[in-house]
Amino acid sequence: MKNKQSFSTNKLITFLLVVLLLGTFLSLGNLFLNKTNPQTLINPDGKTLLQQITNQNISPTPTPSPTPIEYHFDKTTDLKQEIETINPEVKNSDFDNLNKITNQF
Amino acid sequence: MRKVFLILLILTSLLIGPSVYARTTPEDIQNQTRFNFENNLSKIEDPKKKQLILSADQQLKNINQTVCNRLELDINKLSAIFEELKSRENVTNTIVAYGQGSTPLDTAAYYLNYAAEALAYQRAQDYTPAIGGGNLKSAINYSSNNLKSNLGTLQNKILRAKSEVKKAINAYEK
Repeated sequence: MKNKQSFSTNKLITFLLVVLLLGTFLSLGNLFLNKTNPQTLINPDGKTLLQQITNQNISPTPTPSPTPIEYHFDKTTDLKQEIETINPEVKNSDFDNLNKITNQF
Repeated sequence: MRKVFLILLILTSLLIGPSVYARTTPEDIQNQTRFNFENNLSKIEDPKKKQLILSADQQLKNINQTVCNRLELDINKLSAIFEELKSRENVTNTIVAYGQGSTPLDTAAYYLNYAAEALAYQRAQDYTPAIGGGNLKSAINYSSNNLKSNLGTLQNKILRAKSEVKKAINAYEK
């Protein structure tokens, strides 16, 4: 009986050791990943690698949102007519400047 | 023996705990893409090419934001029309699940929300060109085509919302 108990205890300890070992590997892997995270690669002067190369500050949000236009309609508004004025479209001309740049390669 | 168990258990939870919470988020992927871009950019020796890539990268962001701003105005107007229609019909609530509204107003509400969410998602997309492959032009073209296609999808979602609001108007305003 005592032998059986000690056998199962040994198995439990082995299992826990394996889990511990796995945990160590995972944690080390996690540490390694964090080291390669670009956010940690910001230099002491506060500039990212890209800013150092180009020596300019690049804003992550270049185009500010326009002031939202609020539409107000009342009972006199012809809704059928109003809805016809909505034409969502992606124009080819939106890409003109980008195409000009691409053509320079 | 119990003490050994306890110590092992505490150590295990200490080590595994942080690993479980360290999941890859969209922000991580975006940061990694940006890091790769910066890294590959530093390897390009020709300053003219480097500048062109930076300009193209900036343009990709600008196009996305500019078109999203324009499409947002369309959604705003569509929402205002929808709200006016609701007030004319004295409807205060719209109940809808998985696009199956019981009234045209419910269905219109669903597709309007769908379009607005798609717009918010599109605004947050990143089109940093993957310049690691060597062919810079095709990397930029790939990002550009991807952006164009995604904006086209968003446009179609707004058109669907417009069509549903139109159906609701036609159903109520006779």
